[in-house]
Amino acid sequence: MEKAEVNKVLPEQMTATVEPKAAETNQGPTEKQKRDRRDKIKGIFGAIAANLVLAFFSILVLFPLVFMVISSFRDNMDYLGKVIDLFPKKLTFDNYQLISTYVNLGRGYLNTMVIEIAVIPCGTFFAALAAFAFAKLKLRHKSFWLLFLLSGMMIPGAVLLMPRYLAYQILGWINTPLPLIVPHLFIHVSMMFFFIQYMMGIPSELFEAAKIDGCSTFRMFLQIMLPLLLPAIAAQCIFWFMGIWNEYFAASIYLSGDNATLQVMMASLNQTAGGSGLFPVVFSGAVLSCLPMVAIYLVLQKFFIKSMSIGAVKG
Amino acid sequence: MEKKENRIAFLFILPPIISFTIFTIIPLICAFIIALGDFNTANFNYTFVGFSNFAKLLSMNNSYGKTFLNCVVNTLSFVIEVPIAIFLGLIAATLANAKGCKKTNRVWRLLIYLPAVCSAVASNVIWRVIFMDGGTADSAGVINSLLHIDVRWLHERIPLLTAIIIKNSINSMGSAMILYYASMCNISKDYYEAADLDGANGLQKFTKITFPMLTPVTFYLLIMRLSGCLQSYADSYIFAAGRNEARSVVYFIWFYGLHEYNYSIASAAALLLGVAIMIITIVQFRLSNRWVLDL
Repeated sequence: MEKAEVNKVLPEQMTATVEPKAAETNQGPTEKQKRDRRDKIKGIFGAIAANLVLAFFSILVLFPLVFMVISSFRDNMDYLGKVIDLFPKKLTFDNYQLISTYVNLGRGYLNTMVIEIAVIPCGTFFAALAAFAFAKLKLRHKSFWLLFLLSGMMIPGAVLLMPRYLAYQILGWINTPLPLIVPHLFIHVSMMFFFIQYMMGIPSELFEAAKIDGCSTFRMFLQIMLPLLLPAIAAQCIFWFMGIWNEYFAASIYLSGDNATLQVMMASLNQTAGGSGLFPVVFSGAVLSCLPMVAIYLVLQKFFIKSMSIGAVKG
Repeated sequence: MEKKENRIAFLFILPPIISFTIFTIIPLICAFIIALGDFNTANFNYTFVGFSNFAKLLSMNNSYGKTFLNCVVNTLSFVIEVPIAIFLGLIAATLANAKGCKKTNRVWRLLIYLPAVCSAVASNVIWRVIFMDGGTADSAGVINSLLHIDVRWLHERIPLLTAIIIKNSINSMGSAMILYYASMCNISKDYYEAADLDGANGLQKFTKITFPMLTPVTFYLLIMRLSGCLQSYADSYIFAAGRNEARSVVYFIWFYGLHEYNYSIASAAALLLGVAIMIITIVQFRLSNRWVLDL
């Protein structure tokens, strides 16, 4: 902001020194300079206003997070005495230690990571494989099969909840991570669709040449397509990772106790510790559950935002 | 050769097809069967009752119908968030794209998108404390003490629904902003130069060039956010702590299905929700050719 103030003064001085000269020669440039000057001042005020509004939006959006982080380090009695204190004098790590009396958050991390590692590599591979067939291979009834798979995106998860739950109960999968892994191992429709779009942009000549050289279809996929697809894979995987990390509804239905994922543990911490008024403990849990994702986001911010935009514009 | 490639290609798409059939098509058919009958989870007894479960949900003469109507109304009021978030995102993106923010826009985009990375659980937990209202055993909330007001945000219908709309608008503004911003950067400068030559002012340029060029993003956001809102669950379960005033349709399905073990009513409600989402999506696609620019 200070920089903008400086800029605001400088042009005025500059135009002020130039103006008399111009006035001597003729009338035209003065008018133009006046307009330029007006535009410049307008631009500076515009810049200040725009940045102020965006700063306001940022505060609006970030206040809850900042409040959460700061309060997580505050003493509980202190907190109950005065809820809002963004510059507390006394900071403590007690809340973070107290989490373990309610939930085993370490297990939560582990359980979530088990699902991430089991699902993402396998799911991505099969999504890419199917996308390769749709984008580059000859296939009878191609559009039918594509529509068939895409129709799944229209069906809300809640519709399938009861029959799936019943089936998992019969199979003995309740309170195991299997319901959150197995249905996603071979199919991820939106990812597949994104890959198809991406592969359409890769020239088919590459594969025709390989075919003439006697390369098998599967090797063509593995050795030519997969390496070319890597940017798209990275862009999609980061959002899949985030989706699984933050997934709550299904996880809360199938998992409980020590088998629960991080988010489910977080919700039960909210019920137990929050229920007995220990809000700073809940906040410290929330901080720990968000921290990995926020760290990844801050480190990979450029990549994150770019991936998001291409994902939406194309998919 | 042709036949062989065809076979291999089919082999490649077989895993998703099988998985889709097992985990989506068959459960979907089962959901219809369960919804059309009276299913007892204790002894797996099933009697066919036709559409009576749907009739129960849609008539006001019984407790299911009344509860369901309440959930439908609540869910529909969650949807108010969608235009607000899209509008805020559009404003933020327009400002970030302005000349004056050339150096700063990266920081603003980074900050405003940040809440989208945090989980719904953590965000609901924290917003709950922010809207706390000194009611039963709760400590004073942040908003009430900041503004020196005494609104019962978490205990009365209108304040509770308002709170949910406010928090969701703020949280989902970031992704709208990022998408709009990226799309604005892709608009060719030629259009604006031509408009300058014709003497168009800033507002005209926005309404005649920027906004029409952004309609595909608006359409995408509408489709995604609407179906997301109609399926919201954490808002009811965590933010509103299951209070009757803010139960959503998915909460209803969870509650009657997995809490009360009435699978048939839950499945019927889920199918109604699915049909509603499908109709809304199809109508949006149908209407899209009237306002969405075909790029």
